[in-house]
Order: sequence, then C-alpha cells, then structure tokens
Amino acid sequence: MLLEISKSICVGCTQCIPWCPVAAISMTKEKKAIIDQGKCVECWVCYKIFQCPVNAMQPAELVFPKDLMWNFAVPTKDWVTTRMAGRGTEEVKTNEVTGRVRWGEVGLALDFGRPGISTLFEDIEKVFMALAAVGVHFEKENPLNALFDENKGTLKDGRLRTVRALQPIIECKFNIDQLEIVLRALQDATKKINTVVSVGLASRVRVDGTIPLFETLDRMGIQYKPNMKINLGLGRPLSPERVHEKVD
Amino acid sequence: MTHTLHRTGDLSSLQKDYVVLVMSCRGFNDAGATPKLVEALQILAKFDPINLGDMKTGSIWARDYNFKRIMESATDTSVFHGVYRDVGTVKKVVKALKEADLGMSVVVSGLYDEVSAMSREIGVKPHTVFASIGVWGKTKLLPERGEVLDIITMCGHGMVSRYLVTKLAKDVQTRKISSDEAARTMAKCCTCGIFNVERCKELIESLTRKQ
Repeated sequence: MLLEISKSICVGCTQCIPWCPVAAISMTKEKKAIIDQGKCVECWVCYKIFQCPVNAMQPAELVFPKDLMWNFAVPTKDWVTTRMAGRGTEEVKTNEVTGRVRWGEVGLALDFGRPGISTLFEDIEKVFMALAAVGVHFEKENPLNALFDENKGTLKDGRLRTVRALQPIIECKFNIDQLEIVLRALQDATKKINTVVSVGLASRVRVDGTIPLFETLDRMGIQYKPNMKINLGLGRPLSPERVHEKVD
Repeated sequence: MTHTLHRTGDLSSLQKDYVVLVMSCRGFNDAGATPKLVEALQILAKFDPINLGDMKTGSIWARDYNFKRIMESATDTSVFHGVYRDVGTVKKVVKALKEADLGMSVVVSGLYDEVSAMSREIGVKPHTVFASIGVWGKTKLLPERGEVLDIITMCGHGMVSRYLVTKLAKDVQTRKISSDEAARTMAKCCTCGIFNVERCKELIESLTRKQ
C-alpha cells in the first residue's frame, strides 16, 4: 500500500510528523499534513504504529518501485525471491550450521542509510561497483544483491537509481588477506555518497577467544566497537568444517 | 539482518544492554523447529527480559501483543529475541539454552569481552563474531553523538525516528509524560523486540537533564 494523507480528513494536528524516521511528512500552507513521496520509504511507522486519530492516512495500491521499498523497510515481510523476512540473509547468526563465513574469510555487511537516514540506489551502486572491482564474492541470497550485476556492480534496472529505500544491505565476503584492499576501496567509495553506511565485519573466533580479523584492523588503525554480535555455536548440525575442526 | 549490531553508547550504558537471539537455520534445521523455538522462547521469558519478541510477528511492547500471542504465532522460522540488563542474566539464559540442547542457533549481542568470559565459564565457545567498525560516508547527516543516536540505534530496522525521540524528550521535560511512557512509546516502533526500554528510559532522562 502506498500511503497518502487525505486532505479532506486531516485536521492539521501535526502529531504524525515526528513519527516519520526520514522526515517525509510536513504541513502545507493549508495546514494539512502531506507525505513527500520522494522521501517516503514505506516503513509504515506513521500508519501502523502512530495511527492517525482521525484516520487520515489512506493506503493506496503499491506499485513498482514502492513495493520494493516496502520490502526493504518492513522487517516482517518475506521476500518473494528468498522467502526470508528482513533486509538480508541469516549471515553469521547461523554460521555454525551454514559455514557461510569460513576460516580465513571475512564477511562484510554494509547497511546503507543506517541509522535513520535512508539512501538512494545510485549511492549503493557507487559502492557496489567499487567492491565488484576488487573481486569480493557477493552473497547470492541477499535481496539487494539480486538487483545488481555482480561483475560490473551496476544496477540491472537503471530506473532504480533515483529510488530511495530505508536501510538495504550489501552482503559479501572475501579472503582475509584482501581486507586492506577492500576497506581502502570502501573508504574511497563512501567519500562519494550522499548518505551514510554502517559497516560490519564478520570473522570466525579462535578457540582461545581471539579474533584474527582484529589484528589486521589494528594494523590499519581502524577501530571496532566493543559490542558485537556473537554466534555461540550451539546450532546443529554443525557445518562440515566445524566437525573437522572438532576432530582436530 | 544485522539488526542487533551497530548500537552506540558509552561502555557503562552498553553494560546494561544485551540481546539474546534464537533461530533455526533455513534449509538445514528449520523443518519441524517450532516446538524447539517455543521452548527457547519460554527460556528467554523465564529470566525477566526487558523486551521479548519475534521478528516475524512482533514484540511485547507492540500494540495488542503479549507473550501468549508471540508463542501462539511461533513458526519454524521464528526469530526470537530477549533483551537483558546484565551479562549475569545472559549467562543464566545461555546456560539454560545449552542444557536444553535444542540445536537452534543462539546469538548474543553485547560487549564481546564480557560475553566471551561468560561463555567460557559455562563451557560455550563463541563461533563467529560480527563487529561494527562504525558509520562511514556523509556522517554529518547523523544526529550528534549522544543520547538520540544511542536510542535510535537500538532499533536496527530504523523504525525509531530521531524526531520522535526529541519530541518525547520535550514532553518529559514539560511533564506531559513520564520517561517510562516515552520509552514505551518508542518501543512500539521496534517490531522485532530488540529495543531496550530500560536503557531508553535512562537515556531520555539524561537528555531531558541536558535540555
């Protein structure tokens, strides 16, 4: 559903305005609330959570590219392509089972427009191209990646360049010895974008609790946050690599 | 789904912010996983979480939602979250999950050194980490480092508006609402239940003092 605010119903109370994470709602000269469709990312916070006291929020048919934006913004909605909810894959949350990020590899997740800014697809394309040029392996099941030609890094559908979405994620991986090259390319590319990117790196943990990835980051002078997502390895069946490691 | 990563804050505040997530793995162990996930949810609920929810359906703070409805809505691919105030409680939760031996993946988001030490004490070895190296790009678009940023990064899907935080902080300052009401209002926006309501309340009070 595309959201619009009915001018005839809106009483101009302004209560809905602060609820929008991307400041897409404003007041007209006639003191009616209006949604800027160029800014709106279809997160539905105004419609589902705020709930207009006079029901002025009017859902209309959601057509391309708004349907795509809605899928990126609403965490509970499954993707037709992957049959998974959310903006990305299970990434390292099930890594002990999938073996998605293996020893000697680094996983990279780039949340575009996070926190709370949103992004145009043309900005994602700039970074995608930079990553494609340094030979990373893009995650096949990621719904954003499916929109790009992973060899050139360009959007398959050029109409998307001017489309805005809330926080789509690029997911990829590469060998740890490429880390410096990849991060340098990322640093250069993110200087050319008109949004922000939250950068996350995934790595296996040694038996003694140390993390090989951090040694390279320390050498590069790149700081990492003390709070992380930690997969505790309790899922079963273990990926073959993990079983092998246990035997060793 | 990097939604529990990238939470900002100072160390003393982050020491009160832990998310435990339990899920099945699509294509590997999801078939028939519902009873195991429900058992995991019951364990998460047993240790007085600040927030509890399923990414697929909603949290205890969402409108018309409660623990019973979350449990009844469980599916083979539910992603359950519990939020806790200290690593000691997380240790009890993880120990109970380990003993239940459900074969579901368990992920803790929080301070690595504390989680790693806690895990070792109960015989659990962290397998993989996801670390944040911060926000890159046009960072001048962000709110200033501080309470507003710390609050909005507690909803990884970007549903908590910075403008709502500022508005509710003003309402608290002018005594229209309490800090508790402000925090509960914001928690409604976070669908999957990873928003730390108690931490939010403290941050709002801190913000109100500054204003």
